[in-house]
Amino acid sequence: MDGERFPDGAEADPDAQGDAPPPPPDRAADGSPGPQPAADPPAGGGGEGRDGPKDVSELFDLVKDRPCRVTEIEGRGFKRTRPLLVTREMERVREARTLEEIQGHLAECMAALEDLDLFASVEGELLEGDKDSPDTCRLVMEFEEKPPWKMHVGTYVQGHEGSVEATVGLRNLLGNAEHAQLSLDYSSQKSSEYAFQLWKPRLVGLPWKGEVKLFNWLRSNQQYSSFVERIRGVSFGLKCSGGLHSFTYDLAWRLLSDPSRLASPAICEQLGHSLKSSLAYDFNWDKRESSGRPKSGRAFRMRTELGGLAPDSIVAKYIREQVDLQWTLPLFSTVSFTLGLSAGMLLPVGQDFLHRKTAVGDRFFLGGVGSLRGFEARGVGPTDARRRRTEQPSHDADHVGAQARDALGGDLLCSASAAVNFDLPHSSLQWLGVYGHAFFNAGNTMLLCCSGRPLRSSLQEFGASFRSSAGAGLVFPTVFGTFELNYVVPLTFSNFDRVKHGMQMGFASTPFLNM
Amino acid sequence: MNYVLHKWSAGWGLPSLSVGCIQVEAVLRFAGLNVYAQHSRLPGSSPTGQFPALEHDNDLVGAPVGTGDEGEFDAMRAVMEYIKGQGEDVDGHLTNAQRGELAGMVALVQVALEPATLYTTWIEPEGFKKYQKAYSGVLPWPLDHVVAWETRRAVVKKLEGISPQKIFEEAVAAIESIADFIEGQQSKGSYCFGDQPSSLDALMYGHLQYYRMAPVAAPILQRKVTANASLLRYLDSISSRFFQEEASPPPPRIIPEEADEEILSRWSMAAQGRRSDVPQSSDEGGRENVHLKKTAKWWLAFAGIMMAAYAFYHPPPIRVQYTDAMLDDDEDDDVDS
Repeated sequence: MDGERFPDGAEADPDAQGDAPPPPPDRAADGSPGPQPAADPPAGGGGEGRDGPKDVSELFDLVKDRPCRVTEIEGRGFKRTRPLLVTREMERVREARTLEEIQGHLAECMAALEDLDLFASVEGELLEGDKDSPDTCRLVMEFEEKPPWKMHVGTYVQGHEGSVEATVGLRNLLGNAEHAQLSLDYSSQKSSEYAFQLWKPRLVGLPWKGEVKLFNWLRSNQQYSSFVERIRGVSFGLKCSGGLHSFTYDLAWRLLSDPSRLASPAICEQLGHSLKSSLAYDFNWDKRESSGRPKSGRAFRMRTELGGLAPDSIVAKYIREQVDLQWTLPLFSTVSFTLGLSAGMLLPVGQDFLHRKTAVGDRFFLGGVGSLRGFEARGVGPTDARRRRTEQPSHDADHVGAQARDALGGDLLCSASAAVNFDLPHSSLQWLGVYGHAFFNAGNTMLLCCSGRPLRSSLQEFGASFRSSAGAGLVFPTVFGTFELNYVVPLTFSNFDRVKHGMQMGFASTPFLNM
Repeated sequence: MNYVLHKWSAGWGLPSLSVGCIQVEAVLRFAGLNVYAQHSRLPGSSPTGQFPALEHDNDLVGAPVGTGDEGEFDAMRAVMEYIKGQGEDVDGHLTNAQRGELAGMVALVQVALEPATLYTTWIEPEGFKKYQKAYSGVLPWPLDHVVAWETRRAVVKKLEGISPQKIFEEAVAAIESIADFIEGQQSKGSYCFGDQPSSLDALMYGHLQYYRMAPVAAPILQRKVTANASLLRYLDSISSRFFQEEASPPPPRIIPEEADEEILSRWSMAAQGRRSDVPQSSDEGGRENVHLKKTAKWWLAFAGIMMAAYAFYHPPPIRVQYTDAMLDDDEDDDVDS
């Protein structure tokens, strides 16, 4: 840590001092001048005949086990932050009994302070303590607070949809490490998101982050599924430090509508108002070297969602489970192999659950970059024929200007990917983090509920109708996800799938899913 | 050709809880059309987002996009225009003079009765409380209250600036005029313009039967209708002749494409008359021909060879070459230490 100093007057270890070498004889036996006297041993002693510690780390190794405890902690540089917030994190340092323990506990404190996202820099210094107590020291911390506001503006492109996002945030206005953020997102497909978020890390001193979010989302799925989804509600979240576990409760008013009036009957049945009340648990274990360009490591993510948590029996209850796994194995210094698996299931809860339809907004969709390459976004899975326009433009006799079917999504999802990732030879591309990959993807999704078939028959058909594709391309990792430019060849597909043969590009917004 | 009417479900002895739906159904029945009724008690679940909505072949007719439940009369008018446009004009038998009378009476109904119906249903506290129960049992709490209140707010905005006193006074005056008109026409037939019903009969039947039967109707409106024997006879004649039976629901939908696909898939590509696994439908820019497994296998093999060649034989991207000067510096460092 910058400015850390060890206690002054640290005595050299008497055991480390060896006997002084015997004085050489003035003359050798044959009369030639004897060997020159050895240089005096350096001050501070050392090992038997050795030099003293050469640097701080060696000196620290000598004294790290010595009794030492922090008796006073002083923090400086607070403008808005309440000192209690910081001293509460630093208290664990008092439990240390040796320098090594102090160092370890200080590292933990720094991590906890970093979680608060309040400080641009933190510097600490250990000073000698009371002269009457030689095994004590004082800890002085210098803090530089981050600005109280933050702003971000960005544009993104995903498939055929471009979007603009702006967020404005306030940080630590009241001094209790609270954060507030207002975000606006608007896309070319007329989707929009407005959200106001409040969160506080280290909630009541525990290693958990509490969050409340009010949102108003308008998601246009008209292009692929002929419906527009408006969701308004509130979300409460608890996330542990490190992000390993998190719990989220969503209470939202959901309205599905079809402004185009071309929706298929399967989508028309889903239109209208509904209430979403769900509790979700996320487990996120990521030991990859890097999420953008993993060269080694494994990652596992699981989400369990229980919906319909309302006293009213009208609210449809369901359970939704999704599991994602990625494993990267280094082959050579610049080449790695990545294997990814993803599976999901959505089922209503209760009697005759297979005879009750699931909500289209909760289903799984497959297709597109980051999901199943070689297919359009949401281009794989069950579909239903849209209403055909009575009046059609004379140049569009084959309806080629309009998609003929709605993607309905599936209750069951399974996909896998294998890819060889390799660095590109050009140094500038390596510096940008751009790399190449060759991949094989496979996946399938289907409806289980109200399918009109026995469950066994559905599962058999699911296994027999997997889609697959292969290809190669370039990957551009960014902080918002990976952007890919690929050449893809679909290998197997169904009649109503929307295949994308040839060049395909897009964002895989969640790097984890970029298999 | 069949018509499918998406409407609010029946209740309170009425064919529908929505006056607009009653009016549209009346016109369809007057025209003798084959009508199926898709009942729903879920607001917003109509394919157009509000009731009534009419499906006919590939057409879907309803109120303008973005209109909610407060736009039921706009939806009704759009549907009636469509029906007329399909050649099913229930006013086709009217003379020019009758058409003139029709226009005047329709305007009276629109200006005087529609606001009263909306007000007593959505704004009058007692009426709204009873009508809101139609949402309960269909939507979960608190959504039933939220959705109902959202529609109420839209109706309040629609009737902004009109006092309830004026609304009910004009409605009462309109009912009296209608009653006089019907009494005056009874010598010529059972309906407004003779023995054949017209669109005016459908409009009047919807409002007057609603005031008569629905518990949400304001007492002054209900009294005005039930106290007039001519009106009651008129309403009963329409009910007994055209609304004896509920319209049946549409038949189960057959999905020809998927059924055909399953049967066809059992045959070979050649037997199906297809060259390869080319998708039947395409999007944006014409048909795509995808060459399957044969070329894909060769492509994969080529890609695999290229990957292996790159992995094993590509030169390292950065080469470190020691110069004599660097080596000399190293030796000097060794001497100094």
